[in-house]
Amino acid sequence: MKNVVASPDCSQNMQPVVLEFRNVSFSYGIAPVLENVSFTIRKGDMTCIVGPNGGGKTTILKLALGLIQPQQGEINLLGSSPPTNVTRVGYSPQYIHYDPRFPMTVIDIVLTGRLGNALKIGYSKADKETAKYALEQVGLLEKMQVPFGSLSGGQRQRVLLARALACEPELLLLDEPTSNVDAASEVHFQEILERMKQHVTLVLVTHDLAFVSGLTTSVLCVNRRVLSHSTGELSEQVLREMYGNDIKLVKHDPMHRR
Amino acid sequence: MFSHSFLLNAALAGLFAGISCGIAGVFLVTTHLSFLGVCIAHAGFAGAILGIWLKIDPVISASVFSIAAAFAIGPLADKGELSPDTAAGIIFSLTIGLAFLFLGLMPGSRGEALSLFWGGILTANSKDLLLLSFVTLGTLVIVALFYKEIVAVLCHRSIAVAVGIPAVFVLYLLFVWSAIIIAVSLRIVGGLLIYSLVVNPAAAAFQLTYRIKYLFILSALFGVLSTWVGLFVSYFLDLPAGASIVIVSTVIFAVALFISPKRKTISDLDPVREILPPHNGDSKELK
Repeated sequence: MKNVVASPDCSQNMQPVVLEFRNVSFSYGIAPVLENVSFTIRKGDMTCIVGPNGGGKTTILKLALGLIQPQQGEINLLGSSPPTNVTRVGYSPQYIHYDPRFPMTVIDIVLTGRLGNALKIGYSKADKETAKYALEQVGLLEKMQVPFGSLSGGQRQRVLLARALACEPELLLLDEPTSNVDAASEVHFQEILERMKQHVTLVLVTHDLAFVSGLTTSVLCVNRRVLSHSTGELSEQVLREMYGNDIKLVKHDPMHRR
Repeated sequence: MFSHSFLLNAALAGLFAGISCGIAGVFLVTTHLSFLGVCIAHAGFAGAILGIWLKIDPVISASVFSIAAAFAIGPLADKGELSPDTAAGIIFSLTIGLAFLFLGLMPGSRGEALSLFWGGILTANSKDLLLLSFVTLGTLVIVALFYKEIVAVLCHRSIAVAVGIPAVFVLYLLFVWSAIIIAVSLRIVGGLLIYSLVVNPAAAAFQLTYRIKYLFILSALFGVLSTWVGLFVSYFLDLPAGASIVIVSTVIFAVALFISPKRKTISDLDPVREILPPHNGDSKELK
C-alpha cells in the first residue's frame, strides 16, 4: 500500500495554465460544497476529478464554466475569469439530465455545440461539416438523423461527447462520461479519449476509479476540499479519507499503467 | 360562410391566435412549464377585467398581469424553493380570486367583462386583428432569427450557457413574449379557455414528432386547425365559439396521443427516468 504521489505541480511542466482555482469556496445556501479549493490544470493534461457523491465534483465544472460564481476565491479559465472564455471550452453535462423525449435528432444535438462560434442566423455549411466530423470521431455518423432519445446510454454519451467536440475546444470538461455505459462502450470511449488527448486538455468527472488509473496524467480527489492533487496514482489512504470507510483499490488493467 | 365579413374577421383572428398560441405552447411544453401557461392566462384574465373596470385598455392591463405572473413563477419554479405544482396552485388561485374580486367590485354593466370568460372571436374587430397580426409576425420573426438559440435553451439550459448564450435572458424573453401572445389572444378565445389553445396544440405536436422544427410547425398548424374547425362547428351547430375551439383542440390532442409513436417507444426505452427523474445526477444508475 505505497503512496506514490509525484510532486503536485510538476515544476518541469511549463505548459500554459488552462484552468486554475485559487482558494475557491462555494455553498448552496448554508451547506458548504467546496472549501478552499486550489488546483492548476495545464495544457495537455488529462485530469480526472474523483470523489464521493455530493462531494462537489460537478460543482467544480460549473464554477469553471461560470454557470455559478464562487463566494470566495478566484478562478482563471484560459487567462480570465469565467464565463469570459467559455466558448473555447467544450462541456458535456451528465446525459441523464437530457430529456430523451425532447424532439431532437442526433445532428441537432451536436450542432448546438457550434452555437458559440456561429453568430449568424442558422447554422452555416461549415458548422454542419464540423458537427459531422465530430460525430465521425465518436463513430456515430450513420446515426445523425436518428432521434437522440432512441439511442442507448453509451451512444448518447458519445453523441454528447461529439457535441462538446463540435465546439473545437481547447479544454474539454466531461461530467460522468461513462455512467450508464456498458463495458464494451466504455472501452470504446477510452479509445476515443486517448485519441483526443493529443489535441485537447481534458478534465473529466468520474467515479469510475479504474478509468482513472489508465489514461490520466493527474487526479484530483474532491470531497468538499481537494484531498490530493497527484500526478501519480490513487492511493488507498486517499480513497479512505475521501470515502470515509474501508475501500479496496483493485487494479483493473495494469497494462495501461505508466 | 365567409360572405359575412365578421366570419372572415373571425377566421383571420383564428389564424393569428392559432399560430402564435401554438408557438407559445412549444416554449412552455418543452420546458415542462405548461402550468406557467395556466397562470399567465388567468393572470391576464384578471388583468383584463381590472382594465375594463378602470377603463384602461384591457390588452395593456392583461399584458402587465401576464408578464408579472411569468416573473413571479419563473424564479420560484427555477430555484426549486417551491415545487412547481405548489407555485402554480397559489398563483392560479390568486389570479382567479382577483378576477372575481374585480368583477364583483365593478360598478354598472358587466357585459364586456363577462364576455371575457368565453371570448368573442365572432366579434373580432380591426383593432384586434391589427394587434394579433403584429404579435404573430413578431413571434415568427423571433423564432426565425433566434431559432438555434431558442432550441438550445429549450433543450438544455446549462449547455446553452456553456456555449455563451444568455440562457436565462432568452428563457424570460420567451415567457414574456408568451404572456403578450396570451394577453392579446385573450379577447378572442376567452380568459378561461385560452390556456388550452396554448398547451393542447403543442402537446399534440409533441406526441407526433422527433424533430424540434416540426414541433413548431405542427403546433402552429394544430392551433390554426383548432380555431378554424372550432369556428366551423360553432357556426353550423350554433355552439359557443370559444368552447368549440377548446374542445376541438382537445380532440386533436387525443387523436395525436392515440396514434403517437412515442407513447410506446420512449417509455419502454427508459423506464427508470419515466418514474423518477433523478435530480442529483451524481448517483450512478444501474441499467
